[in-house]
Amino acid sequence: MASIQIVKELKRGIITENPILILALGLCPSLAVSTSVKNGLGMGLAATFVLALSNVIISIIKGWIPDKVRIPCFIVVIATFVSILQLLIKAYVPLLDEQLGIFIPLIVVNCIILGRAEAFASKNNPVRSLVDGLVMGLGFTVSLLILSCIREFLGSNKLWDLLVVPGFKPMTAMILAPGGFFAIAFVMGVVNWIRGWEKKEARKA
Amino acid sequence: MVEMAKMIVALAIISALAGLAIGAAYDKTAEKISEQEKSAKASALKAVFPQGAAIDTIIPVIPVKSGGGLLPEKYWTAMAKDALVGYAFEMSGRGYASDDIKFIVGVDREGKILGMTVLSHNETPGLGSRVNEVASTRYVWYPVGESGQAKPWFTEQFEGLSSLKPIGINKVAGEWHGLDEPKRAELRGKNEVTAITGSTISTRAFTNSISRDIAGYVKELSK
Repeated sequence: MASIQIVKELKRGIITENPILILALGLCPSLAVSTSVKNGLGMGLAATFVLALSNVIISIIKGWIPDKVRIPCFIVVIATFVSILQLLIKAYVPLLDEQLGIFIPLIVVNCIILGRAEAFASKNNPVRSLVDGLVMGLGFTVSLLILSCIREFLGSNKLWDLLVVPGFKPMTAMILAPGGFFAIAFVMGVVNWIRGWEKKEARKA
Repeated sequence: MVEMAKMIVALAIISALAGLAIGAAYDKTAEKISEQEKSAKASALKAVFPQGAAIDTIIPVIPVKSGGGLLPEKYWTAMAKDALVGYAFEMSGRGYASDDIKFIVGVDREGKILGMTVLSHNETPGLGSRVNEVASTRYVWYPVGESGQAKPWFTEQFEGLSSLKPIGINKVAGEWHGLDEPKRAELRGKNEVTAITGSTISTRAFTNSISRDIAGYVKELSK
């Protein structure tokens, strides 16, 4: 029973409610960091960590926050987590700081985190909020990986900093902002096409 | 009225708790962070000088950057076999981010750049952040063998250039790591570096602050 639940939640985070490709949340960090697979994975994992923890805290304190000031309260909680995370990484894992340091401040303005706080954590219990944070973070990470594979390969002929096709002259535009828009639009188009096709099949059956 | 008071109290409590949490985290990590920064700087200094040189920190008697004196507040010298090899300066330049790019440049007594290391930057991931990129020569399906150059290519291309003349930025040759030796020699002859694709502004942060400051420092020190 529990494993069915997990599969269902995973499917919700990665496919049916994918934060970038379906809900169209968090597009700006996606544009900025999907230039290479390493960056995409780093940003995805860091955001997942903050998302899960802030979801739990927000779900715990939701009862005694007045409705009218809930958004500022959520932002304070999120920003606190990001600041603490940044300090800890700087102090204890300087190698990770070199790789991730520049993304961490970006997490505060990632609207997936505020979006999930508002749409989910403020209405559900801490355990469910934790699960929601984890699967949504995973969905974000998976979409970033797809986008960054496309962009890193076309834009710099590399995957995970390793060359791919000898002699292929990469299109630099793909690692610049326009390439990000192209890649997101393309992947969204494919996802919508598959969903439309699925719906048609379901109607036929 | 009661509602307003509730809002104020809730916000005040949350902000106070957040402040406490960040303060505690800062308190616990501050010492460790400054230690990490110190060791990063020490290894950066070693990297801009030839191997085995003895490095000294110098704080000029008149640490003024205005008027007659042109020296920075602090610089480093390197000695090898009792002879002065060169100086190193900590520089900062405005790139694309609101935080300056901080880097260390080592020069010899004639102002020729010996080495350069980036200390910290906040440039756009995937674009300006490539100032620290180590160029890869390995392929996905065969990721063993030659591990490529150990040094980041962007800073390596400054080695051997003169800091006394302005350093030009070449945007047509392609990036330095993809060029062959004759092409690199040609750039060196023109005292030029190649720009990081899509990040000319980050590139300019380096060339600008080198030509702005170092010639003055070297002149002052050779007096």
